[in-house]
Amino acid sequence: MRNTLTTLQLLSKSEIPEIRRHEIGDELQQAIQIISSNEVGDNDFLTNSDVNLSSRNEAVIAFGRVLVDFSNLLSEVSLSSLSQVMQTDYEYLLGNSLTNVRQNFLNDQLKERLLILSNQLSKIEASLGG
Amino acid sequence: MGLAWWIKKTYVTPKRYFHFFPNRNLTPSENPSFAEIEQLEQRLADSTLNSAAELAALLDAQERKKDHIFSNMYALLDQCRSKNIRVPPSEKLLPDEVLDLAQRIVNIREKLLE
Repeated sequence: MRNTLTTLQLLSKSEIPEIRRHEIGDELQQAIQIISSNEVGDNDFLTNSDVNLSSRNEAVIAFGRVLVDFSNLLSEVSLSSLSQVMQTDYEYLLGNSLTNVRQNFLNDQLKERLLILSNQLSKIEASLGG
Repeated sequence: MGLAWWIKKTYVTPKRYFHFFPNRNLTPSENPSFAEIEQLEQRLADSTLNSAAELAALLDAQERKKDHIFSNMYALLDQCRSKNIRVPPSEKLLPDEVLDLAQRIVNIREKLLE
């Protein structure tokens, strides 16, 4: 069954002539390639969850680092999610089976980073008084 | 003392603050150097005073870095543009855990500005 999340302007392939399906498929593959060739993956992770936040100064320093780490993560997840949806659309357009297409927007490394950021935010929230 | 005197209080939602898809108004922004940020952090770490101006300077630098990250993301997205492809809104692409964290960050920022 097709996922309702799509990047296609026309929702059903029955609305798209056969010849244009291949053209759009090529555009999707090109976009997927552009995203994957620019994957950064290993941005420096600045958050230091071991540090105590005993002053407002320390809380703001920690917040700034979380902000940059989270922005990198958000950008990475946005692009990789988009790429996965495009891949699903590509398989759909070409009439390939979607049963083996799995969308996993958060891999284990990203989940681990999210947890660290979430814990650090809890410390910042506590330090600023809830 | 809050930082509202030094930081403009214009971003109020995660969608605006983190430049969710689609956003056609994001202009390329300058990327502050690590040296600049490190210097600002060091000055704060060494200080026992609570200088709102210095806190705001660091936050401003980190927010410029944030905006630079997202302007790079949009530059990449521009290369993928086609009349046949539309980019779904970020709210549909992002897992709930990520959206929740975005909201918490915006809430903390509001608290710092109070």
